[in-house]
Amino acid sequence: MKGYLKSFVPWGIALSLALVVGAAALSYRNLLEQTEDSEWVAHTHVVIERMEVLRAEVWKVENARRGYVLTGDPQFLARFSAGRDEIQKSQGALRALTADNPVQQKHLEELQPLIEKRLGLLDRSLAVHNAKQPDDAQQAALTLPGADLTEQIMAAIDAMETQEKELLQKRTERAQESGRRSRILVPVGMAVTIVLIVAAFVLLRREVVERTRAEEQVQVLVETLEQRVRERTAELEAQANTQREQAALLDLAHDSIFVRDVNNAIQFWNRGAEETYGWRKDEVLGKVTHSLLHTQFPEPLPKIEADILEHGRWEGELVHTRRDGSQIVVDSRWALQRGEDGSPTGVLELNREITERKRAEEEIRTLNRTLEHRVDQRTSALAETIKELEAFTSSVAHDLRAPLRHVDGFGRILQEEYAEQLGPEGKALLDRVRRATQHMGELVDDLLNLSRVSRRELSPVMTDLNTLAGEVIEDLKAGCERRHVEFRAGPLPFVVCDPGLIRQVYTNLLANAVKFTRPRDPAIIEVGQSDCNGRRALFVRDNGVGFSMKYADKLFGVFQRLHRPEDFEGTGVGLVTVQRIVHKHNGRIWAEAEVDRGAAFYFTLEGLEERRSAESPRPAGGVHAQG
Amino acid sequence: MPKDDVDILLVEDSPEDAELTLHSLRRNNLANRIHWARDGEEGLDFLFCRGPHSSRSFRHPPKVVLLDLKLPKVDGLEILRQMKEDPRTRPIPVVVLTSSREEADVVRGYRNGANSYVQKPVDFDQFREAVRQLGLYWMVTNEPPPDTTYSRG
Repeated sequence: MKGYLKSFVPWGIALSLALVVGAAALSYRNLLEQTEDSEWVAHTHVVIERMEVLRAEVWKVENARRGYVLTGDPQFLARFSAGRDEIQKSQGALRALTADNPVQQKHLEELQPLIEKRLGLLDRSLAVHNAKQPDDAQQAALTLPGADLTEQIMAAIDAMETQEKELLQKRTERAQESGRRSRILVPVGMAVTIVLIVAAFVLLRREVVERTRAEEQVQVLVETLEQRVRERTAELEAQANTQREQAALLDLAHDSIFVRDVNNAIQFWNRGAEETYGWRKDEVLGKVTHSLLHTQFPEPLPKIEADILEHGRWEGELVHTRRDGSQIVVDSRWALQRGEDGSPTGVLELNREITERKRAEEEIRTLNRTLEHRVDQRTSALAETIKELEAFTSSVAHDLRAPLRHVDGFGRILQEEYAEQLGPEGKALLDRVRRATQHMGELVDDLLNLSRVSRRELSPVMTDLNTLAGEVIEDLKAGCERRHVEFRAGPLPFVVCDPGLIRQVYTNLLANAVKFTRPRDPAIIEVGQSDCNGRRALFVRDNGVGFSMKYADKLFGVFQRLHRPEDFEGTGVGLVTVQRIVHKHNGRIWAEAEVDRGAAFYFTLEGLEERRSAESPRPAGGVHAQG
Repeated sequence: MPKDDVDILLVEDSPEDAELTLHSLRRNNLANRIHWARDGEEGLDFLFCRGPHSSRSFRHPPKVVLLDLKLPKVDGLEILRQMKEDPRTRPIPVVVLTSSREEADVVRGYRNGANSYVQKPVDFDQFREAVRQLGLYWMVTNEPPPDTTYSRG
């Protein structure tokens, strides 16, 4: 229903009521007036009637006196007396009836002495008659004024009647007026009422229609709501079923799984948890996990809680106490549950018991420690032995060196100061003695060097191999000025290595290359890097005499030589030293060669792979040395 | 110049090495006034003017000391240490004679103490050349410290 109509209703009802009540009140008042008027009309008729009665009584009394006087019959006297009372009575009645009318009261007051006077005359007439005196005269004397009086009385009564009839006339008119008003007022009132009733009916009908429509709409809404409630209920039931199924699935897990709310009160507790901790589900629901299980945390709980709030999860090892008091170690994983509004609602905690594993790990650690200790002991014992051996080698080499020096020194003096006595053959022999001595000196020096390299601690720094190899090449060029040697240096990487030792590697390999290319013109010696089976290797390649791969396994043996000393001098220690250095850099060294077609030595170093991007490009062609 | 004035003190236990060294020095006319101490102790006695050398004076120190490292009784590094600790002997130049590259490494560690070092090569020609250059350098080129440096002795 519309708003204005709503506010209209009380006012409408009030107005209708006012109209109906007004019409009714008007009608009612009119009716009262009409009734009153009618009563007054009737009253007037009664008054007039009573006046006629009075007139008749007066006449009756006079007639009675006349009859008595004429006949002497006492019956007339009785009538006289009765008439006399009636006159009094009528007079009283009239006085009462016209109490509201001062004009009539005045008339009555004027009438009363006249009547009394007349009655007095009549009484006297009667008295005269009773005295039996000659009475005709007296009677006549009494009769004449009596007739005048009667005339006056009649006139008075006439006046009163006239008055009353005028009143009657007025009252009748008024009654008729009231009746007319009633005839108008009543239909008007009824019409108003009918109009109001019709209006009320129309309004009510409209209201009913609207209410019905509203009720229908409400009904539709209610049905929609009910439908949604049914759907939601079904959904929730399905969800609950799923959850029950999932919970049942969780029960299958061997891990203990439980859910706790934001106050750490347990909400869910699977069978795994029952088995692990010895507490049944119905015993733990609502309890606080950390106090139930006496949880020992690896870090302060507030930190863990801050962690899980920030990342949504946490992992760590916890120590829990079971129902029987025994302690277990669990690998614990926590996941934060959030409500639809994103606020935390609880934590899913998944614990796997790792007590055994921890024990095994501890055992392994203990064993490892023992093992490490033994390895350390063995290592230090070995290191000690190696040190002793090397000291021995060093000392032997050292001590061997001095006599060699002396042989050579004194040989030289002999050669210089006693040349004449020796003769050419003696000098030649002495030459061979000195060459042998010097070769042995080289052997000893190389051995000492190998021993030094082996014992030396690596001092790795970032090294530019381009510079390093370039410097070695420059040094070597000086020794082959009378030959045609072409050095080609490809781009080399930066590597973290011991530059002193790697310089030795390049020195030994390049010196070998120079040596074994002696018959070549031009000799071509290359340094560079290449991919070998996916691994990056550095190489030194030459076009020298090469060697047969048959003997490749002997390359890196101490004092092993693949060439005759008269062809190519050497001690057989240089490559061993190179190999030792490469191994110290966790690298590998190998050779590829063919007789008369050159040799190539490849080696890798730890950290070579990672440094690919650091290489500096170098123009092709490289460094050339030409004699 | 007093008769105990010495140009070179050679501290060397090996007679062969000593003889070869002396021979080299002689050939270069540098062996006029050489004192040869056969072990570390004698070397110290000579340097610090005590024992058999108590008649010596700190006022006339050798112009250079050729010091072998491996010596009986007191080794070369100890001699070097004591010399460099004492203000009277500190200014005397010391050339260490090493018999291997390994020893050369050790001497490098004492660089503050030794003025120079020479590795004794097996090739006598090389050795002689080295000694010649050394002797010339320390005897001829290098100006010895002024006498006042020794006045406290």
